[in-house]
Amino acid sequence: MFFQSQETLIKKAQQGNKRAWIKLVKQHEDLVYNYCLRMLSNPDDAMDLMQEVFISVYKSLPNFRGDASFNTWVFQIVHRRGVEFYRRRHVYQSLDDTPEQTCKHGELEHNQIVQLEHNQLKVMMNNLPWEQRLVVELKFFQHCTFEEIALQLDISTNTAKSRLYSALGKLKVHLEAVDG
Amino acid sequence: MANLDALFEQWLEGKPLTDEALKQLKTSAQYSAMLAQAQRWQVQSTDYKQQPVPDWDRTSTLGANAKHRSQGNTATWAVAASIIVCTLVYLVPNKKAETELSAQLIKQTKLLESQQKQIDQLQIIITAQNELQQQHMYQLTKEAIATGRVERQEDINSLINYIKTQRAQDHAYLRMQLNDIAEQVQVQPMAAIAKN
Repeated sequence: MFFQSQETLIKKAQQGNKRAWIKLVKQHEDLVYNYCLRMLSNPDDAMDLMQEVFISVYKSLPNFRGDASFNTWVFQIVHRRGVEFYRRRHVYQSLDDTPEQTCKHGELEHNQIVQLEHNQLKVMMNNLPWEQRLVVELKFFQHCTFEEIALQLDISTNTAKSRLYSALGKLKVHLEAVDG
Repeated sequence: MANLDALFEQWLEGKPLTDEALKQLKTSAQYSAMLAQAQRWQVQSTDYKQQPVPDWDRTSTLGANAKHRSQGNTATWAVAASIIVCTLVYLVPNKKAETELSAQLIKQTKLLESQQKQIDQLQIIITAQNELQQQHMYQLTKEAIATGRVERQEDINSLINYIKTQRAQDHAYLRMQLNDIAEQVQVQPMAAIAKN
């Protein structure tokens, strides 16, 4: 029923129905915003990226044929726009050239628990190159299978696995540094 | 090792592992570490509290599309404007050209009129000169005829005088001849004179 209504909303939005589009945005903005927030670790950047994403989605809406689910299709756009956004901000880190960041443990002690958790996640995410960050996001936060990750990022499942394992390896190094 | 990799992958994909399989993973230094990191990420994911989306203008995305749509409209308008501009560009110079042409036409007309006037004036002058020339020719012809007449009269008079002179001379000569004959007759004997 929900899928049906979403289909209807998509069709209406494709026909230029503004209310249908706003409803679609409301349905997806939480997921997209939090994804952007986790990936960029900055609320302002997350808002900017989310806005760009929805602009892109609406522009591409006439091209949506329903081959994949709308959510998958939206997140494919999110990934593309995210990479572009990240590159534009000149914070792109290649796989081979990743600076190892040290966690400033002292700073975290004063934050509240939720904020601490978010900050910890932020530090963990920032410790990873963009490609690995994407795989971690899809694996642990969106609970995608390797096949789905491969499909969404247009890479092989082996590449997806190796990126995830590298990310786990980096986290180990990071945690060792944090724990002393 | 391949078995452990498969087990770890299975675990990552969310498939349940037996206690034995989990134990195998935990006994491996490499996989136990990765398992720990993965569990840490899972904890992060579970503990993660969705941040509420700040208020934002959702219609801005629509606006962008509306902009996009209006871009379509804008494109239409742009095309229309282009056509108008092209037309204007095409027509305005034409108008200019027309104005210029009109001005040139007026100039040319004025020039033609002035030239026509000049031609008329020249025609008048030429006509006047022709008349004058004809008058001169008439006078000359008249004079020539008069002169010729006078000359002929003079010649005729001269001829008449010459004829008169010749006649007078002939008369004189004849008289002399007649006198001579008369003298001879008077002198001649009668016998010598013929008898009719």
